[in-house]
Amino acid sequence: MSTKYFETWEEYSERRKDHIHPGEEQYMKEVLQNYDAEMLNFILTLIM
Amino acid sequence: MYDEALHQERQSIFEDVYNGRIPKRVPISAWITVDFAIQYSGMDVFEAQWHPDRMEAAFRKVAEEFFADTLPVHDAIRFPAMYEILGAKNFIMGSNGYLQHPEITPMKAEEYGELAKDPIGFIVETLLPRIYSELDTTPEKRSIIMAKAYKAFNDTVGYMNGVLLPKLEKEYGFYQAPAGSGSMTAVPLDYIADQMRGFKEFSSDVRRHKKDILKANAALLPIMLNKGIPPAPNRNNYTFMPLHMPPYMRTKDVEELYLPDLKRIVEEIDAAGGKANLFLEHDWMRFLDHLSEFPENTVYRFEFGDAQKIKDKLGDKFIICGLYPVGLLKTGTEQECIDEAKRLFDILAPGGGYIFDFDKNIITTDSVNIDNLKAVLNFVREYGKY
Repeated sequence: MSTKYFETWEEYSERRKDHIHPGEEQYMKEVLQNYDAEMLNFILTLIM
Repeated sequence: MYDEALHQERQSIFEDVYNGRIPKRVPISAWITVDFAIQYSGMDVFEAQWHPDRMEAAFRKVAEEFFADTLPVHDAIRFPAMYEILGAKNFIMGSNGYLQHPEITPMKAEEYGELAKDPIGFIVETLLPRIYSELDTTPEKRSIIMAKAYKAFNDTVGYMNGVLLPKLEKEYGFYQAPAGSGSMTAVPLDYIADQMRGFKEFSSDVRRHKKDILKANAALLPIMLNKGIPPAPNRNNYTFMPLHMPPYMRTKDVEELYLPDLKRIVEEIDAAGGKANLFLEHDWMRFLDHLSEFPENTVYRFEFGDAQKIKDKLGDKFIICGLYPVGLLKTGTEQECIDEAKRLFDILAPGGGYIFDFDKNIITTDSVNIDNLKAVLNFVREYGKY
């Protein structure tokens, strides 16, 4: 889920432009999708 | 300890019930809490909660001495480390060693618009610093405190639910749901009432700020929906949803402010290939007609209610559990406790769609007579055979 606190891959890759290294896309997509989702879930859990 | 035949039986009886088939016997679930396990194993409840590594021995003792088809230790969701790091006002350690949830009202009535406009932003920037005093500081300190709290959360809740409980389920041969198929979420209205506005203030908001609540509900719905759909939805597990406010609201308000969102979440989970398990806290008898419209094989865990009316109204389409009164395990004789189990089985078990469980989680050893608890669990294992 995109929020102002978490980047999408599109936003990240735009920021990194043509400096993206081999392996970075695969790794960062996992971070942005899974880890950010986990952190969002944690934030929501704080008021459950 | 491990019995392959019993393990296979457990897998098959849950999969049968979850998919609308009559199982070999009624599956037995027993929601015994971490706190109970600590007490029962003789550990100090204050100290043990700071040592996740010591929990294993406590959980093993409960797993070995109380019969159930699911690991009889549930609710490993609150430990003091994270709450103390954050300076929590919503969960405070009581003098008896249990985290207590006092009534809090961190959100003001005039802030519904801000919540509706940007729910995550309002939670992060406004509510969390009000609920957690240690986050009411500079952004730099706040980020470090959040990192510590997240570590504490993973060291406790993450370790319990991601490592220890699955390990024990496998080792003892309890029912094992498919990986990644469980989740937990809330109805937007409950999410607002529980820890944003508090029960008292929210009850007044229902009359004075109905339009504001509707807008906030709409903004929170996709977030709660997203939280409720597990990574790998499966009919053989569930998204747990404790439901709080409807018994304390007028039916027409529930129909307007609550049930459409609840139904939408349950239907979306079902459409994704999962299943909702709704813990209907307090008395939901006046909502049985509404519940009858939900997707087939949704799990309803009742706290109170007339078992026969529930069976008549919901028994053909849904999975019923709960209703067995924990209080009786404290006050009744062993025979009275067994008779009550027999009464519930005779009503709810015919035709399938029944999982034995208690009306409430068993949170302390002195809230039940241990001998009665063991006697009932042993009785239902035999009596529940089809």
